[in-house]
Amino acid sequence: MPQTQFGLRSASLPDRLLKLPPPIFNPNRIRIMLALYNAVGADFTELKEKLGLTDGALATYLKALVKDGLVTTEQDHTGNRERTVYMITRKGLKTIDELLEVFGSIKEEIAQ
Amino acid sequence: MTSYDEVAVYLKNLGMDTNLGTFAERVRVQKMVYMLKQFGADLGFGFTWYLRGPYSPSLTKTLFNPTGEEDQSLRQLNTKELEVVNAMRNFLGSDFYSAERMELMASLVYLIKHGPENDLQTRAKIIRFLREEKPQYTSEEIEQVWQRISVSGMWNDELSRLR
Repeated sequence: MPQTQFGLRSASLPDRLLKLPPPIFNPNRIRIMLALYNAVGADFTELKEKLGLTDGALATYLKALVKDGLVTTEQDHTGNRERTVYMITRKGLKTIDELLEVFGSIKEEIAQ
Repeated sequence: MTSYDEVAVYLKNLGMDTNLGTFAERVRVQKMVYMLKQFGADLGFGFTWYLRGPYSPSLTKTLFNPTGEEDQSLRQLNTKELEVVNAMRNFLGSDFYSAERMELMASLVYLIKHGPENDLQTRAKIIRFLREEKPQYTSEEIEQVWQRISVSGMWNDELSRLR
């Protein structure tokens, strides 16, 4: 029976995680990314309410995600309000998809 | 034809492009494809409710991955498809140009269709929910859009389910 490094048929599967942007490896950053994955965009208050994070924590997480190009910001002037809207980027979408796919594949192989 | 091409064909006919550069463009494209589906042009995307009303992550993903061929290879819409586009365009009127108004229209249609399965079985409950979720819209704006939806006759079955 051939063995692999992780006891998986596809030894490269866990290694694919290493290629993902480091800021994604934090539960709250993943939560933010998932919130933005499922919305056109959200402002700071909306994210704060949805995720139950403090201003300081949310600001720090968002800063890291923006810095790495996973999330982008825009000043939105619709209606009478002006606010900063956070949106997932193409890179962000790809990262979340890859993360979910790798974990899904690992789970499948372990189950076999 | 890929999913991207299909969306691009319809958006092109509506005078829109597939660029998701700005927040307003993202909102408009999402709500436009949702409304097209209501009028009979189902481009294969599933929509669920989140923050700004009906939203499809797979539509965003599709538009983030253009085929690269763009305009050159896009097909023409047939007569029936053009009728759908025109019917939706006429229904939307000037709301077509506004991300905010498109958001309100699509959200209200979504709630009328799916409200009863989500404990929103009455008109009053739907409006209250919408006011809570989207306080930027006034009662008058919501009422006006509700009237247009009602008068259109497009959602009579769904409206009749509401108590």
